[in-house]
Amino acid sequence: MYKKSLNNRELTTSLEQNISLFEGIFKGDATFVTRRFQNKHLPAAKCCVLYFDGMVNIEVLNENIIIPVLDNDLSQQIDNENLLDELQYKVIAANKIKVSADIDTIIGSVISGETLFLLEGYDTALIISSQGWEKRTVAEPESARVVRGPRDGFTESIKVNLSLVRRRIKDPGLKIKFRKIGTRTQTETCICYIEGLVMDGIVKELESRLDKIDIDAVLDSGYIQELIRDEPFSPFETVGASERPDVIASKLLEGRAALFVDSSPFVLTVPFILAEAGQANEDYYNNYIFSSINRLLRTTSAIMSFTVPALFQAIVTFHQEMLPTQLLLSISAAREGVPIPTVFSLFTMLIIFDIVREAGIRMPAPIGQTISIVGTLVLGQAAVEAKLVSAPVVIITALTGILTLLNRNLVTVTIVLRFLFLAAAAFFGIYGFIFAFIITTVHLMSIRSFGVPYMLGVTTVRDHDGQDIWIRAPWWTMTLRPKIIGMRNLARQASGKDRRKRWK
Amino acid sequence: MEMRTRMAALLTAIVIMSATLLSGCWNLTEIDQLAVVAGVAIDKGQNDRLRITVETVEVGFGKESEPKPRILTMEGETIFDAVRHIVSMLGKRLYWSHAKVVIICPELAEDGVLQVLDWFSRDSETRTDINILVSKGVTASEILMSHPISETVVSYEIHKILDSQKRLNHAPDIEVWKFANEMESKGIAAIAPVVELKSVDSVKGPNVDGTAIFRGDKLSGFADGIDTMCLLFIRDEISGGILVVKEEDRGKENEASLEILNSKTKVSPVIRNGSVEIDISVKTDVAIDEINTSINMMTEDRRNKLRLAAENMLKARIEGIIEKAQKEYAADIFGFGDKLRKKHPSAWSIMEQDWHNTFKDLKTNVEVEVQISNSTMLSKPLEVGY
Repeated sequence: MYKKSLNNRELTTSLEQNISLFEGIFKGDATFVTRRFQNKHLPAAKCCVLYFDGMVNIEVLNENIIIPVLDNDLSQQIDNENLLDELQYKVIAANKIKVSADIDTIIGSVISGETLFLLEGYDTALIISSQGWEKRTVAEPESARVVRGPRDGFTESIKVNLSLVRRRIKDPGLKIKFRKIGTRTQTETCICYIEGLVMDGIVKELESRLDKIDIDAVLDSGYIQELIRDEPFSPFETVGASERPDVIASKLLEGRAALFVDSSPFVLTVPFILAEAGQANEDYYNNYIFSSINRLLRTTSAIMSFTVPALFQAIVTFHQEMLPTQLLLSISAAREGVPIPTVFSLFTMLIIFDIVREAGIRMPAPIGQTISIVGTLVLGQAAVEAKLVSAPVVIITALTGILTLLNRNLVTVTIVLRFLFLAAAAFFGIYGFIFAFIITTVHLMSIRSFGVPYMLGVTTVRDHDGQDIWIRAPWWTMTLRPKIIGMRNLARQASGKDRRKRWK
Repeated sequence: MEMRTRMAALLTAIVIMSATLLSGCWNLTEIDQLAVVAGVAIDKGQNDRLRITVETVEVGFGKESEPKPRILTMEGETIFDAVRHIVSMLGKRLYWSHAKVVIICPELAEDGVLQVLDWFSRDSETRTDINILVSKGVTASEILMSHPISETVVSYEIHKILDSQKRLNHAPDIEVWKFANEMESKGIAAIAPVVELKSVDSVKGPNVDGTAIFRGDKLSGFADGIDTMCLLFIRDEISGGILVVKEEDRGKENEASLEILNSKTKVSPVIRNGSVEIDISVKTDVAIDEINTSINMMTEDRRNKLRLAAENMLKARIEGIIEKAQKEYAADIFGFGDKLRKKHPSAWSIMEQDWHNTFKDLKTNVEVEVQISNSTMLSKPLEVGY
């Protein structure tokens, strides 16, 4: 690592020595450019810009750095005694310039796309902000489309991402704290929160967890999400992630802290509770009745996505008396002549569904169609006609698949729980099913995210606690922020100020 | 610390293992391995054995898988003995949870049905909400082997007929649990619907009509459809049905069909002069659904006449069935004893032992009130103009 091997080197007053020092450091990197030039009128002003090709904005470099330094009559207008400062203050037209003599800082800056300006006779250097690389434009996120609501999504650039949030919260209390994570990737991350509103101690806790990370590379926020989470072995996600700036803004406004990671369009929020998995940003933009119905559908389908196959298995192979007679006969007729036991055909079909799903995600779009034809026609219809599986099993599989995809942020959970429940139901029927249900509930009740109970609000129906969990209450009634997380400053609307006292 | 974790792990293991292994019955059975029983007929066999006839539903292959009935007969010492022997004929286990009807032949019913009821109530798979019927004129198995008209499975058809009896009320809809309750009670005698064979389009199909009346667990007689309706009037179990009323007008007899909309019966035992009397008051809402004359029945005096005719007819019939129950069947099928127990427990405790004798000479006062609510879709009668 360069930090340790280079800390004995220093800049000298010789320009050539300095240049060769950096050329030595970046030896073998063909994109490292050194450009020497000197002022027309003052030949003593020999200088050099060092940068990485492709990381800097060439226009800024040419127009604002090289041309001014080259053309201006430095011998006349400038106090030549302190040339470097004079250049910085009067000549170079860049928005951000740092003066540094520290090799580590300089190297870090050059790598991040800043331009290094060296001048003959000075052992300090100017670090000129000139980053300019190709960026994806702000576009609608593929992971969460909306019908009603803002269509901008985060990009891979942390600056752009921060601006998207800052544009939504014009509050001087919005604080942004940068830090670098990843000894080799030096990934820029930043903690973002609203002062006076953020949950007590959450920023400190987040910082202390980030401090403990010792990893050489962070290529996506997913790395950090997994490194700072509670309950590392639980399938339930305890750190939130979103690609939408409006979602992050609303979480900040509820008293959460956000973590932006450069080169990842997914921004993390903590604490994360289970109820958030069922909330969609559109819920808050659409009519509250419609939103509440949608949210109930999402919640029930989330539960059904892992219970349906197990319930089917339990009822059809253990508790046939629970079926209406006609249904029993038609299921029985469909199973007639099928050699594979129900539990195995369910298990296989569910696995096949997940294979098709995974293939569909990775496939290039033109081949994607083939997958759906093979998936539906060959596996579904042909398997039933060939009497390999019974038609109800295919229906259950398809239903489960759709239910799973409805709650994409719970896919991890449903895939794990689905098979747990199915296994329990296959061995013990409804009894086993209930057993699995109890285990899941106990687990959910026991986990926390950053000190906040994961099931916060799920069991409450009291006015302000439950109004944004199972349903989305009308905006005029949500005068207070959610308790516990938004405790620092509960009043969301002016009318909530009087009611706030009740909660203190 | 390590000790605590080990204890916790042990405790968890014990809880999980005892919860899963020590729990009640569990048994995985693929649905196509079950022979779904639709109904069962119980007859007397040879040498005091029981002959059990089971109708199972077979589902076929492919898309045209119409459920088909299959009749299996086996004799045994007891019901369960016979039922288990069917495995050796079929290879599949009989599955009883979806059975709809149990039909008992009259000979067996006369000897007592306790054994039958015991098995149906005791066995873990049979349900007590299945319909119990008594065959009349034929053996129970002949009913199951007859040809259904609307369904393919006889048992399902009988079940359907009983279900729709609430529109006719010519047979009671009795389930095993109810029969058993009434059989056990001293204050009420059990009844069951009767099923016969009737020819429709030259094939014989089941026909549910009338009531089998039991004294204790033994069959004591049959009541026909009209009597059944009056019996249900007293039991306050009328939910529909038709009253055909004949009424004289200037030497001409008119007929009207009154549809029962709503009926409420109050049975109140009263003690007058030291002896128990039963006051029965029937209040019925009806609608004129059919008349065979052009006379406007909705004028006030015509309506009153029709009402009176209906009231008298119903009163006579109700008194008729009470008398039959007292003299002929000698069974308190109306539950007068139960009513007495609730209203006058002290009097009941005295009479309890000798109730069936007291019942025979019980005085009843029947009051019938018919209210004609409407004349359905016509306010004026159809005129014959030509």
